[in-house]
Amino acid sequence: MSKKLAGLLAILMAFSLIAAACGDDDSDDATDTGQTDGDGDGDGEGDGEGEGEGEGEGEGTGGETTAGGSVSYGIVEPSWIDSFNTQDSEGFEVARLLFDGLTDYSEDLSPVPAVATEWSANDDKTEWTFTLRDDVTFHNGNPVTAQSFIDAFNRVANPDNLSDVSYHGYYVAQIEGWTEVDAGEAPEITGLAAPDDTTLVITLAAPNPIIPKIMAHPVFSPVDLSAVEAGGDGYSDAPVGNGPYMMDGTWQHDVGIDLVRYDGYYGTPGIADEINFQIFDSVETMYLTAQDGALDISDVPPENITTAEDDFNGNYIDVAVGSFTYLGFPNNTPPFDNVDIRRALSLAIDRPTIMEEIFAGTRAPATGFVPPLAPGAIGECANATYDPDLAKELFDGAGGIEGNQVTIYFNSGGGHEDWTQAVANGWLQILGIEADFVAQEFSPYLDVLQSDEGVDGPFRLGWGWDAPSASNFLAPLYGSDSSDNYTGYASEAFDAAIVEFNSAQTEEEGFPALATAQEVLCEDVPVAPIYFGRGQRVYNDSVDNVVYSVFGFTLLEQVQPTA
Amino acid sequence: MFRYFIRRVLQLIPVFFITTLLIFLVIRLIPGDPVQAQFGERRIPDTLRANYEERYHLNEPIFKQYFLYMGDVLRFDLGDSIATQRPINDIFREALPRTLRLAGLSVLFQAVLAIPLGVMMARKKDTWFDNGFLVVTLIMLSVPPFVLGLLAQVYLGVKWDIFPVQGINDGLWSYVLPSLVIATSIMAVTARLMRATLLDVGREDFLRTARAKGLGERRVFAVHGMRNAMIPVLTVLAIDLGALLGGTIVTESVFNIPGIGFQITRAVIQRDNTIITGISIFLVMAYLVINLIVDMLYAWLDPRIRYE
Repeated sequence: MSKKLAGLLAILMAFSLIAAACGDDDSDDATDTGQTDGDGDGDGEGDGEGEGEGEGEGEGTGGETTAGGSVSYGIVEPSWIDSFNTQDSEGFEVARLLFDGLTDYSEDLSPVPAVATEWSANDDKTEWTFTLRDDVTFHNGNPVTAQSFIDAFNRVANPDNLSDVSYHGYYVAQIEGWTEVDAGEAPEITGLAAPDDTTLVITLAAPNPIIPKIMAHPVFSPVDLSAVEAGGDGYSDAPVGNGPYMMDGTWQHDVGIDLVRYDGYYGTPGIADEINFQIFDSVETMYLTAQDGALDISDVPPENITTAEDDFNGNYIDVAVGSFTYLGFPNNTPPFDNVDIRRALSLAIDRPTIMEEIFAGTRAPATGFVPPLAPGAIGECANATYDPDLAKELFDGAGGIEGNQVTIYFNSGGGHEDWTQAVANGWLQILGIEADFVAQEFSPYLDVLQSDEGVDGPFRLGWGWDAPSASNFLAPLYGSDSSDNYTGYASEAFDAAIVEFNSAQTEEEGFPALATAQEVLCEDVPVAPIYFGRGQRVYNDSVDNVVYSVFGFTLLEQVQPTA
Repeated sequence: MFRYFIRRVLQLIPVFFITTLLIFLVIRLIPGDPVQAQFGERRIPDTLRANYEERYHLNEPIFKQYFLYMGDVLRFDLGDSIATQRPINDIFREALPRTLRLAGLSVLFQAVLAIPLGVMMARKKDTWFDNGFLVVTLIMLSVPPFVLGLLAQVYLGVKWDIFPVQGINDGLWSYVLPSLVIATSIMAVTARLMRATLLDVGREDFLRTARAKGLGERRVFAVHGMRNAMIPVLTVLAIDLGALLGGTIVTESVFNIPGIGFQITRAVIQRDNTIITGISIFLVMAYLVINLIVDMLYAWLDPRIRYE
């Protein structure tokens, strides 16, 4: 072999060696990202933590929980785990373990104490006083006081921080003075006061009976500003919270996030010693890894839904979650400005069959405007059921649609192709109208919906709740002055019902008003409800007591490692 | 040789500015609002939009944006991700070594497998060996890497437990299976090219001269034949390396390797324009540098080029 050819090969080899050598940090991750947890690494950790006594007990009784071990949990890369900007379900899964807010949700979705022990409001529900525990500490040992919450809320509102969830402060909770800070017009939120360390007074710009529920959202978690300062640019990758688990090292982007139990936690301690979030690009790979045993709990890709229960010997969870998908009508554009046309189109959708055929039952047919699990939801709406004869009658009575042609708009890549096609088939068979489809990538799609011209046919959109209440599925989507109302629907009766709800003394007292609002929608059909979301998880025998909540996250602090 | 090098480097400068400007303009022409895209189905509040526009200079005229951006790029700062506010330099620092490992190993495997295979096929021209491998390489070329990757993952990873199923937690070992998958799917071209060029070169005058001088067939083949046949093969390997640096989107996704391809896919889905621009500009630079190296290698392997 010639010298030059040898040199050439040497260059190639050298290149791969350089490639192999650089960024050695990745190989180090092998020891701590929990890749091997499924193989029994977990119980070793448990013994080491001095929980040997409890462990023996746990093995004997089976049903009891035993501290120790580790849980590995699959997620896709969150955008943020720092509470001031947590916005996706993956981020919530992590942030809810790191942070505790004033309140938490109970199983029946009512607010229960967390950092706050009790709360009360003035008569018009515009001033809320929360009494805080005095024994809550951040993971660095500093105390959590009322000021920690004020600091946190100001941090969210600060325009320099570009928090995407700042709207919770002025739009969902309507805290006095939040908008001004958000717009850069004021340095601090005026509606917050801390008369002493354990009292937080929140003043609202408008009455709101569900503030204790809204406060359970991670964005309203406290912050220790000294920790933010100490953490510098890297703080958001290793936030210091006050929840049952704390960061173990920093967030390895696209690889994993490791948490350990916080021993100074004021509430019920977490069961597993460690929780390892493993980050996957695709749910398919996540599922395969769980099948291989190297991951305890995984999400389920759509193509595995039908086999998941068998694949994991029955360790399969499928529960309703708080999300809603609909086909919106442009309410001010003919022929959709005619309520009978809207009713006819909605009545001609065979939701149960479509959900069964297209989604194998993993979405629930929406026969109303609010998911049944949301407190304040009423039952079925007649106009959201399947009645082909009535649909035809109303359609013909209203004069039909000119040219028997509609255009359905949806965003591509979100799995909406099949069900929109099925809806169109129903419309063709029952009403004799042909549909064509305009599918666009999500971002340009929203541009079109938000433009002044809007669209001239039914369009798909969805909604996930900010707080577990029927009100959150109503006012934002159909309120005549709401920015998230894409249909142009405006109803005085509906708006009045929302005002009535907001001035109620308690959420329950406001339920009749919410019922009225839903009845108005049932008559007016501003959108055709399509489905309510459901969430699925599978898990290996290496863990037990896996509970997936209606918020779309697993109660990881309760998961019992068994391996 | 040095003058040739300088000339080539000077040529790169206008190419760099023109391509980056094109990339910058084209990415801003993609329909859809990148700020709203970060906000999902909710309508983005006006104040937040204003804050975003100020932070990312989106309210400036586009050419001013380009000059601001290039100013940062020339200081080796690619800016922040619009979706996560993370510095793109940090994202590169993590993703690039992973993709380099994957690309380097893939090209290495490809060279190690395809070059000897091509040589053998050329030497045993028109035998069952040659014909057999022509068919085999054709099959390998036709199977989509996605199918090959999933098959390898399910059998070699899950069922037979030889390789890690996914992830990068086993050091360089994690990269072996995905690299083999990539090498297998692209080696057909290299092997066939090696075979074809070697046969072409075999008919050249200088080889006849070498034989006439009384050199042994082995030496004629290995020294004079191989050296000249390597030029096109080298080009293909370099192009492959350049293409692989752009990330092997499918393989990185199947094997959960958070490299460049992984980042670019997510950036496109999230409309994270700053990441798309940063990665594209990096890829332009990588291509330019690799091409420069290849040109230098040409000049070194073939005296006719450098004395032009």
